[in-house]
Amino acid sequence: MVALQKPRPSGLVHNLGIWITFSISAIPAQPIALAPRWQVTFPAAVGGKAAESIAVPVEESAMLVAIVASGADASRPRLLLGNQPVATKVLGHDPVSRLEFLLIDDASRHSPLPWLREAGKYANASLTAQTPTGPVSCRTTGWVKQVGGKVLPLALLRVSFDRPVPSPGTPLLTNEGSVVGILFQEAGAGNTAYAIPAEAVHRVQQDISKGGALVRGWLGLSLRADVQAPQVVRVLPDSPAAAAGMLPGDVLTSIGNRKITDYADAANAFFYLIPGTPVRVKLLRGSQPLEFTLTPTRAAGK
Amino acid sequence: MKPSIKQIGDLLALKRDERPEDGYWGDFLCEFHHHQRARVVEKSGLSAMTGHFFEWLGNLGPSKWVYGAGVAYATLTISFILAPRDTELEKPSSSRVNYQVVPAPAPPAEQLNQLDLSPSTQGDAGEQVF
Repeated sequence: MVALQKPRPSGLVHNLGIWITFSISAIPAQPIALAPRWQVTFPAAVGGKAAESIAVPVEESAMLVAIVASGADASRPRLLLGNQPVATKVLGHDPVSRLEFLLIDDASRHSPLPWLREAGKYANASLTAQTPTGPVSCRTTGWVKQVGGKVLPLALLRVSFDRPVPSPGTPLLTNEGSVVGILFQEAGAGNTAYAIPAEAVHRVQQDISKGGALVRGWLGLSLRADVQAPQVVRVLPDSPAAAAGMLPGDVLTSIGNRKITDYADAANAFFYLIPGTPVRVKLLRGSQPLEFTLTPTRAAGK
Repeated sequence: MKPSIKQIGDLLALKRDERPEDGYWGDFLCEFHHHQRARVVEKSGLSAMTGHFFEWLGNLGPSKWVYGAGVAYATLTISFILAPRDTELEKPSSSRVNYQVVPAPAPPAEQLNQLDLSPSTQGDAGEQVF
C-alpha cells in the first residue's frame, strides 16, 4: 500500500516565497497620487488685491471648495482645470472662514476626494500636501486658537513644511488619501502655514448647500475676550442659555464633544453650533459640575 | 631635780602600759596607703612625662638639635600632605537638550469675527455674545 503525501515546496522555493512576502509588506503605503488640477483666481476687490487658490473637490457632487484671501473679490472666480477655463457658479461664500464653494457644470470632470469628519486625530501627524506639481511632505504641529492676541473665530491647524509653503487651498492628505484640511495661508514664520480643518469645511458646506450662506448658532450668553477663563459674564433674557438655567459666573468646561479650557476654546466651539441641533454644555457652578442641553437658535443677522 | 632610780622605774612601767587609742593603727595604715597612691598617680601624669622628656633631652647633649630639626621637618612634611586643598571641579561639557521653551500665549484681548490674519485687522474687544 502506497501512502499519498502532499507535495512540499523545495527549500529554495520556500525561502523565495518568504522573501517576496516580506519585501512586499515592507513597501510603505503610498499616498494616493491625486494632484489637484483645479485652480481658481479671484480678482482684486476695491482697495484689495487679487488672490489664487487650489480648488478641492468635496464629496458632494460637482462641488469644489477654495480659499478667498482677504482683499479678493469672491463673487468673480475664474476656475481652471489644468490651464483650461471651466464654467463655474458660486454656491456660496462664508466671510468668517473665507471658504468659497463652487459648482461646476460638467459633473463628469469631478473626482471627489474622501474627507475626514474631524481632523483632531491628525493635529500632530505627518501628512502629504497634494500640490499641482506633486506630493509634498508636511507635518501638523497642533492647533492655533489665537494669533497675536487676536482670538480666531475657529481654531486652525499649524503645518510645517521643509520647503516653501504651497498655495492656499492645497489639500493635506493622510497616507490613506483622506483630506485632513486645506491650507489657509502662510504663518509668516519660516515654512509654516495655517490650515482649515476638515470639520470646518463640513460645517460651512452643510449650510451653503442648503441656503448659500453659513448660519451661526446662538446661545445667548456672553464671555469677555480679554479674560482667559471661559466664564459666563451675562445670560441674555429669552435665550437658550436662560431657558436652560445658565447663570453668570458659570465656567464652561465642554460644549458638545469639545473640551473648553479657555476663552479661545469656547469661541472655537461656538463656531460649530448648528441652529436647531441640541448641544450638551458642561460647566462648573462654583465647585459643582452641571450639565445642560441647549438648542441654539439662529444668530441674529447671520 | 634629778629623778631617782625608782621614779625612772615607775615611769618606764607606765610607758609599758601606755596603748594608743582604739583604731589608731587602722587610721594610720589608711592614711599611709592614701599618700602612696597619690604619689603613684602624680608620677604617671603628663607633668611626669614632660619631666622625663626634658630629662632625656638634657641628657642628649649637642645632638638634641639634630633631633629637633628632624622632628620639625617631619611635621612640615605631614602638614603639607594632609592640608586640605581646593577640589578641582571639571566643568561639564555643554550639550543641547531636546526641549523647546514655548512661551505662554498672551491673554486674548480681541475677538476676530473673520479669518483675516493681517496685522492691521482689528477685532472686537470686551464682552462677546455667542
